[in-house]
Amino acid sequence: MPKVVEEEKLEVWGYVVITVAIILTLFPLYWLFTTAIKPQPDWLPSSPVWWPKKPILENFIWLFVEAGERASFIITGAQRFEPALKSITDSAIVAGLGTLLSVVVGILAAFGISRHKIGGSGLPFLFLMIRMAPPVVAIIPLIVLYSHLGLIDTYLGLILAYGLFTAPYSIWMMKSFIDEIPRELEEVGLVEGLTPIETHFRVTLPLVRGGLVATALFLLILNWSEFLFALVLTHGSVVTIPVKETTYFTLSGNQYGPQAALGVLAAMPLFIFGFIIQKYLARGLTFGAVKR
Amino acid sequence: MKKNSATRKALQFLSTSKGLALILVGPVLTLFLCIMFVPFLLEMYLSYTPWHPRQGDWWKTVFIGPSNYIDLISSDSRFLLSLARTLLFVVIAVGIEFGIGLLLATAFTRRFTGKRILFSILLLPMMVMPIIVGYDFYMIFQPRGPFNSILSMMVGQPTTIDWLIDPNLVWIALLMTDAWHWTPFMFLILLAGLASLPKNPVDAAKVLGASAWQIFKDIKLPLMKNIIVIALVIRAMEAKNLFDEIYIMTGGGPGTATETISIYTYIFGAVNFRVGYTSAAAIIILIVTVTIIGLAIRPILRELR
Amino acid sequence: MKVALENLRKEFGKLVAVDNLSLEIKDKHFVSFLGPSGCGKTTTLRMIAGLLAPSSGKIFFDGKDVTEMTPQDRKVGLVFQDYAVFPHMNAYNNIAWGLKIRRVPKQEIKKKVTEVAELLNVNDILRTMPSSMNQSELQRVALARTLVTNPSVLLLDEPLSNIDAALRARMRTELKRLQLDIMQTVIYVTHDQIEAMSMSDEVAVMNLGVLQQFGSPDEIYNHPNNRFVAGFIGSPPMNFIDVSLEEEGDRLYLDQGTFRMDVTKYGKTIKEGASSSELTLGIRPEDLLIDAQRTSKTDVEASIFAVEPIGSESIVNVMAGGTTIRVIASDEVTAKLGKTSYVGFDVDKIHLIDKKTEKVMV
Repeated sequence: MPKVVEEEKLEVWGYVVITVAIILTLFPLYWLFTTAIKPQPDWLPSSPVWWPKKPILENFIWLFVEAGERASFIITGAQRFEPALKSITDSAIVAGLGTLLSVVVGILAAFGISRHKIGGSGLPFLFLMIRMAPPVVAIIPLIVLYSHLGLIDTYLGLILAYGLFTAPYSIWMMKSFIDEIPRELEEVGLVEGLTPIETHFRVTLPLVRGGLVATALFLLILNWSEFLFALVLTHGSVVTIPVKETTYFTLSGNQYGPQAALGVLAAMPLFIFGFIIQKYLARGLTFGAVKR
Repeated sequence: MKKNSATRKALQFLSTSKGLALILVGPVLTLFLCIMFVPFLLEMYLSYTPWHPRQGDWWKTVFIGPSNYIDLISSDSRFLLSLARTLLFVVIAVGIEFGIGLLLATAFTRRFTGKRILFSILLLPMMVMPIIVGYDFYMIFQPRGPFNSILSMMVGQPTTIDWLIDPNLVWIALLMTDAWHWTPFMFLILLAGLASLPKNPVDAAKVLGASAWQIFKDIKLPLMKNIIVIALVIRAMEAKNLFDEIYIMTGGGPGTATETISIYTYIFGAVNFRVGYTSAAAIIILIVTVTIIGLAIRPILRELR
Repeated sequence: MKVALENLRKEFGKLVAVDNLSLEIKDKHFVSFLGPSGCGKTTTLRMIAGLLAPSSGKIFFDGKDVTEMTPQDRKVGLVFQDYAVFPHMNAYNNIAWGLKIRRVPKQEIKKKVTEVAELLNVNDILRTMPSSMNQSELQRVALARTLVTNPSVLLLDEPLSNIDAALRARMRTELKRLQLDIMQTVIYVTHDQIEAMSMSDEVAVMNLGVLQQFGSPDEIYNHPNNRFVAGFIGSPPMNFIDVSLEEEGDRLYLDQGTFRMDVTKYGKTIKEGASSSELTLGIRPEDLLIDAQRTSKTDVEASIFAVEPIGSESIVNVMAGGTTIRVIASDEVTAKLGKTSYVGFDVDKIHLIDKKTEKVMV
């Protein structure tokens, strides 16, 4: 958390505000978690169940068990679902490689913009534009294009899309971090005989390691959570977690339990990543307007 | 390692400004070209056609000039309403998130125990997948769900409002959802901004006899202007895209009460496949968005210098 | 307004920034806190302003205990080292702000601001923004901003350290004149002894959080009470020579090895103050005499190894008895000096410091 050294003690209004904020923050998380451990009757009863009398782990187990064996679990109407493991691995592949693509492409461009002012002020604006239009807008022609190229319902298709659409964040965050490192260090490298590219990667890059990790984790969070592209560009061969989640709401009944269980599992890595990158977020996202 | 002349030539080229431009910005531009620009050209083309996949190959379709655009602007009230709704939503949601975020950030500039862990907790909502947020709040706002239950306890009277079905109340539920999800973002940025303010002018103000409120209004806020603008613009840019939660919680309903531009485009473009028509809609949305944001983003670009 | 500090102490974790500081500043006096960086002077100033709460001890304004008071209520004036002018307001608004927040009517604000602006000569830049001002202007605006609220004590934190050396001498006179104009108590923090000695009624010399001596510039210079003050005040600094005390019958001598000095007249004071016979002899360069020939029996033979001209005089660095000694001599005398010269000590001007306790006895 940003270092704030203030002598003043928190006033009463502050305690009230923070307490209310904490309660409101935790409530939906608590609800999610308890739903994941509730047996079916408790999911949508006539009055809310605040804590299940008999908490179960079955919702979690059910996610990984083959369709046929589910009869032994006290959840009705959903025996035909595939286990969730595939969605977890699919998400990992697509999010991981998409992030990798975005980071690689982003670092290169960030160096270009930061150190060499390539593209002047027009180029950064262009990248910002990628984020400006709602993703749906980009999706429509993409569907058509992808159909042609056979990229619908493929890993590559999603990876490319994720890579490009998170590239603006990648570039803008990395640029902020690179800007913080004085250019003089690279100039020393140049004098020592390094090529410009070498100075970027051997002098500056090690110094922004923290920012790099933070950017990568931030993008990972975005890509892991991405829904729309996955929804539209895949039809079942590739199933990411968000898409998988939609399958738990069916006409024969909504499987709140497993859905919450998968949600909890999916959220865990994000909480961990989020915690790690906390202190870098503000620095990276505000064009360096906020220094450490 | 012996560098043969070809490799050496290549490395030399890479050290020139042309070479650098190529290898540094080249990849992202290539990606952009393929995944964004080419589709964009396609979209422009299609927007002047009435194409639907049913009709066959897209390159064999007819050219109908700007009639899609004209229809959208003059007679598609559903489209125009979705634009208006989105704008209204963005203004209100970002406003709420800014206000609460600022309040929390100010509180966090004071000294108290457990700051670090409370800070981490308050940031959690930002990290939850939008789809999960959608499902979670869907459950919470059920007629017999916990929200109504707590509400009943507070007003002393049983409430079974179906928040997601009542067109007058559904936006309250969605705003609360979005606020829960994204206020931490505002909180984070604003706190970082407050923390990076120079200390001495604030101290000078204290010695001059100013109250905490006067210092906040006259000194801190003006010095934070740039950060505030950046936070608002970034958040607004993402808010207008809102899709996941609405898709899950209401699907755009009841009726079209929660149909934002994303939902509209999704329904007509990716579900009904009226690709030509929706392409025109998409272009209009793009123009409107770029104009509004372009105006607002100038302060950010100034900051970049 | 009188300011009294009683056993003031400030700790930052394990670091003790200010230790048991007690002193009394009289009304309308100009007092400097002088010392090297990190000696606690700025910390003390901030405690007086109320920006920092002491770990223990009390602060009194005119007899009233203000230790628990917020800075807003103390009505002091504080000018920071970096001036801390509000960057987003022009000079007029900066100066007026202190009054604006007290809801002083616009007309009156205008009157007061113009008065102070006149006093500090910032009238022409009232409409300029801080980003276009130079250091001197920023400082005057910062001063004006403080003065317009009529504080009963003015606290200045190293106000001249950001100013060019050339300008500094003039600013010193300006500040002193200002103090006479406003007739208020001034507490001035600095590491520059010339500023402190030339402007103050009293100087508080501090080192590592501890008050070393509090007195008028004359007292501090001529009667330092410990080794730190003796060595810190004075430029070029005092010479320190290790000597041992020797009694020969009823006469007392200082023995350095190469020379001897009769100090019988101080016999009583030395006997009382010395904890052993190991002492340090202190003598200021300007109190030493140097000549090409031996002029008195007690002169010490010395060889010159460096001469630094400083205008009409020179600092002559010599080696005598195995130690380096600096002597100030006029250029006339210096010109006549050969490789070997003779240094004379004036017994009336020496300071004797106990080696262990570092307290000055003479």
